Amino acid sequence: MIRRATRDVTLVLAIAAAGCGQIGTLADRYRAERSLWWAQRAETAANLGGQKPDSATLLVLREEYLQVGRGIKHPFIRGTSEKARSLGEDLMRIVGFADLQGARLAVQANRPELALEEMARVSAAADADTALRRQADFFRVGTLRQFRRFDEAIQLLREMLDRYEPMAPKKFGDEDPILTVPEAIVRLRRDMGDSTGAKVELAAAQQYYARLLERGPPPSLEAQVLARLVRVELELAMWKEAAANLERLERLVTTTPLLHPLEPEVRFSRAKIRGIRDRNPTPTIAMFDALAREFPESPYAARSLFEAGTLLERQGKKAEALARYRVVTTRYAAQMPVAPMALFRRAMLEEQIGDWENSKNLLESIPVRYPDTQAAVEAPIAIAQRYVRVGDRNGAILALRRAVGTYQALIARDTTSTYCPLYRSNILRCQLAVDDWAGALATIDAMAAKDAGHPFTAQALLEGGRLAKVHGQKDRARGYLEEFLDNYPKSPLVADVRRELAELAGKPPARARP
Amino acid sequence: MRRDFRIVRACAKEAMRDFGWHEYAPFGWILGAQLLFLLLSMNLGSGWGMATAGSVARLLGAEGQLQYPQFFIYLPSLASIVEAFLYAIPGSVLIPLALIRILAPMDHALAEGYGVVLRLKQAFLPTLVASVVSAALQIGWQWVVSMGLAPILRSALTGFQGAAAIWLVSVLGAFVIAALFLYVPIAAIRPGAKFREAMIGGVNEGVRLIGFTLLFILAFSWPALPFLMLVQLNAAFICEKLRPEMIAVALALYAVLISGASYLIYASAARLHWAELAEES
Repeated sequence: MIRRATRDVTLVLAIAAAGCGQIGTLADRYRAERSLWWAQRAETAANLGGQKPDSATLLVLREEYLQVGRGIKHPFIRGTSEKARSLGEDLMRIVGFADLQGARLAVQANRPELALEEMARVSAAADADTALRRQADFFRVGTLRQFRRFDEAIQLLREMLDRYEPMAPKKFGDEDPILTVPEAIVRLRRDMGDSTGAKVELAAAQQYYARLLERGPPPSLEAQVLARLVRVELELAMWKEAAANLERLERLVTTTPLLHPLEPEVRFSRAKIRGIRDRNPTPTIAMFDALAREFPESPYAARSLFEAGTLLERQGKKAEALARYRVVTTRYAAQMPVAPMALFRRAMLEEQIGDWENSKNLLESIPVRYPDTQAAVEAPIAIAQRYVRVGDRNGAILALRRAVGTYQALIARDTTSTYCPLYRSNILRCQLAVDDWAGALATIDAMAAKDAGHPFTAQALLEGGRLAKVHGQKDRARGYLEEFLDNYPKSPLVADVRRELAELAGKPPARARP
Repeated sequence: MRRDFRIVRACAKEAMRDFGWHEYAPFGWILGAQLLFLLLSMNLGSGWGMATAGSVARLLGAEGQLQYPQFFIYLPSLASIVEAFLYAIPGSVLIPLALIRILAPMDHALAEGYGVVLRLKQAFLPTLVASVVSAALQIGWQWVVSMGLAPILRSALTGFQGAAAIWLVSVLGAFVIAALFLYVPIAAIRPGAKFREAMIGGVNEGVRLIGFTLLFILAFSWPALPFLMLVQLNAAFICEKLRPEMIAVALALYAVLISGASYLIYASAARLHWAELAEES
């Protein structure tokens, strides 16, 4: 009897002791959650009233987020059991999330160095917790992009490709963001105006996806990789490879019921390849139209209509093309990036069929409806170009002045947008066209200060050198050219710039360096 | 004997007038335990808070609720379980003890301190069984309300009005169930009362006096009800708009008020019971 009672008591104590092992971690997690909750609440309170908090307030709020991790003992994972590990990971995620929130506020307070330091710390501390580490890394990329540290962003994106193995989707519609990284690098290069670099990155993306396929991923991941690979190969004009991979994707989609929703994408790619190979675009247009008709809810419906519109436009069938662009701009107005492109093309066609008023209204609406798109960059200039075409000089000058205002408003809307160098470059184009040389020099100054390293800035500096020289501002001209040499030492124009500088100094031109 | 409203009022008035800390003390111990539990619940961020209140929640299978501020939304349910436990298990000794102290002036044997332990022993089991049965019926009633009455009330009244009506029906039903078993400990401390006598006699008396007992319960409990309603219906709102810890504070206020109310209800009911005995003899 006594022995049995002793055994029962020992058993109860053992169970209690096993539970007690996690009490410290549970209490730490609770404390961390409480601090995080209060930090979030403080931030909400600071944002009340619609006014953006100033940098000092943001840094105070950031401090509240950083408090979450302070006072929590390391290591977070205490014990070897599954439960201890899961609790420890929970705790790590809360602290990591709070640190990332602190980093976000540092970014808002215009203190990227603080933010990047914190994100790097979270990434290092996350260690085996891939989800947290990925989150920190993606956030770092976003911050680097925002502060125009594009090369660092690309470097980090490349490291991420090596570091993280893409995961198969758990349900249809999910996609591991790592799969988007190669194309994100390409986009980044394009945003930088580096078309050569973008081509190199596109080739690297093709190799990356091909390498992933060699590893024999599960069907759901294989389909996603194949879809991306086909897209990249189409862009690289690798028709043969794209067709082969498309066939492989098609087989996979047909044999795997889970992948049936990929059918619109497969059909779109098939039509696209056919459109490139076939001299007669009519069957391709029919394929695109059928796709849009059969899968109206798919994102490929809008893209198909746009592609069909482009082919019809090339055939000179303006009314039919216009009809398709109209459907895209009304029914699929939220579909990026097709909708703004379709709206731009629609405006062009409306003008060609004689409805300039409608065309002008559409062009004017683009920067408002779709800011930060290539269409928004092109639309204001397109209005001025039309006035030039019809010989209305005053109308063109007015449109150019109006375009300057539009671009300035777009810059003011988001000063960190990757489109700002393009807007500034177009402002410069407009100012040069209306002979506003003082305004143009001010724009070049702004580009030199804000868009250093951008290829458009290189052209602007050269233009600035010429303009300042013409208007007798030799020192200013010298300043622009020297800045060009500092920022673009690998440019093929370096020798010419040196010669110009020598001329400005009144010296014989120096011999170009080998 | 004609138990009219005047006798009931006299019992209630006398219970309040003769309030004594000595008589109330057993209820005070239960209250102390409740307040201690709430204090520990407010400190789950410390090892000792998590080891105590947190462990109680884990024991009840609510480990997932041990997160901030979700824990405070769960706290009203947890506190009601703790309250039910305290009033049922330690209450099986403490409530009869309080009743013995209340009835001591009317019972010479008790007044002289003889047989208190014996009376407590004989009252323990019937009180415990009555508490357990009452708790089981209350759970059943909650099920009936949620499955049967709540949808009807929700279709008739929307928003807060609907929620308040459901809560009110649920509380009133709980009061009726409590009233049915209220006389079991009173009957159980009578000299020489056996288990069967205490149970049957207590429940019979509860049925017979249900109207008056409900009157006692409503009269003494109403100050506590707004706090209970606040935390049971608006926990999420309090968490979001005010601060989560306010829920624990409101529960503490409710516990203090309901403890005083419980004492006064038992004291009034004991006097009514005694008056009936006196009348019979």
